[in-house]
Amino acid sequence: MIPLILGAAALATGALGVGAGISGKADMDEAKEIGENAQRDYEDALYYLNSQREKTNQLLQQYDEFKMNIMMLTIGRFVDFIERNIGKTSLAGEEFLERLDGISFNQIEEYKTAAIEAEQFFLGGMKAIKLGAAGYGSAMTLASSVGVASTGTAISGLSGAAATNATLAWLGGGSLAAGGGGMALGSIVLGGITVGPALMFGGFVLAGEGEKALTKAREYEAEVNKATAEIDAVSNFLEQVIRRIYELGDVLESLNNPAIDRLNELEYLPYFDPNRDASKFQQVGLIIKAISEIMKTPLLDGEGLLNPATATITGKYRSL
Amino acid sequence: MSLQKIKDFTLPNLNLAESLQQMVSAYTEYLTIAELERTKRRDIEAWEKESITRINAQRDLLMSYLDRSFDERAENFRALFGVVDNALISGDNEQLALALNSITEIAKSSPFKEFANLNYVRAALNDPNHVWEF
Repeated sequence: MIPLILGAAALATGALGVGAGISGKADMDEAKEIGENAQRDYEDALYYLNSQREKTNQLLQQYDEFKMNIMMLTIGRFVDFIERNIGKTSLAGEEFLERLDGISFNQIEEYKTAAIEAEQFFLGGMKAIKLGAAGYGSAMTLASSVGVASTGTAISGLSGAAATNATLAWLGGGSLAAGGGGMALGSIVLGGITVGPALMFGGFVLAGEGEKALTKAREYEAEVNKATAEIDAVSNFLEQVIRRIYELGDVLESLNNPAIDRLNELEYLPYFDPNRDASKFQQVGLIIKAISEIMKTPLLDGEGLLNPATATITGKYRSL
Repeated sequence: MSLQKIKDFTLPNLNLAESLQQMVSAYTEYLTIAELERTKRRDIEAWEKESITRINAQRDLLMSYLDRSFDERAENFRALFGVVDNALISGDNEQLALALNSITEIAKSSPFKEFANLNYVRAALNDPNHVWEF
């Protein structure tokens, strides 16, 4: 009789335990899905950030080339014009330049260096854009740390496929299979007769582990969502950096055009009369001075960061 | 394994009270874990919401500041290039020099420079009296 009662009890409690166990398994599946979805969102955000970074770097490069074009074609032409018409060393030439506000002999020398360096670059004589002598720093490329740095180390560990798999494996109840429930179940089953309570026991353990897995998954999801928000913010910021590159490019173009117009006018003259044409010459000189000043403005600092203030913003995001 | 053998093995090993006690403790333990985990998840959710809200608020603040700054700068450039054009036509080189100087100054000043001071940005955006010059 006792075995029969026990048998019925075993059946009932076993069923109850299995029910709890199934809910535990469902929780774990949900946990795994949460982890995978969060990871996908994060990777999408990272992909967009990288494409923005790529775009920024391409623009920086174009901006550099544009600057060198201006150096060679506009500034270089201006220097040529001076050498042909005013004379580079004649006292009269120096005096003429000094009479004009905003144009100095030293500046002309500086322009000359820049124009020669730009020409060398286009001729292939220089692999990298240096232009150091004349003070025209090149834009260089964006530091790879921009964006990535702001996400912090916790996330960098998540970015690898191996890390993802490890995390998901861990979330998916691997630990339970390896230890916890499995061990408990194994140790309890002494004989067929206790299988009912054992199943129930195992079911509760599994359900408990499911709850824990769900919490871990939410924790992971929350961290990843936060990192995704940070990455989105950095991407947005890069959009503004792109706007800055366009701004400087537009300003330079707006200055370059009238400079070329004036240079054309000067060159079409039958001859250059320092008295008659001084005003036109001064106009070109003033515009070229503005161009050269603006071209010296660095977009990025020596480490490839946007500028010191920008380093602060990534710093701020990092500490959030 | 004969029935007799099973009986011989099971009955001495069977302890009903112990089995029941194990079941009860497993169940109560599960309840405790479930409650604890639910609390943890609520905390996580609150933390997530707070963190993301703060990041997005900072981002929106900075982006809206930059948008306005760039718009303001663009408008200033537009006006100054108008002055440049006029000065070039009229041959007023003094005015040309002044306008070019202003263009250079604005171009050189980084629109990101106020980033170092988030409070300034916030104050400028929140201040109804702050004049955005267009």
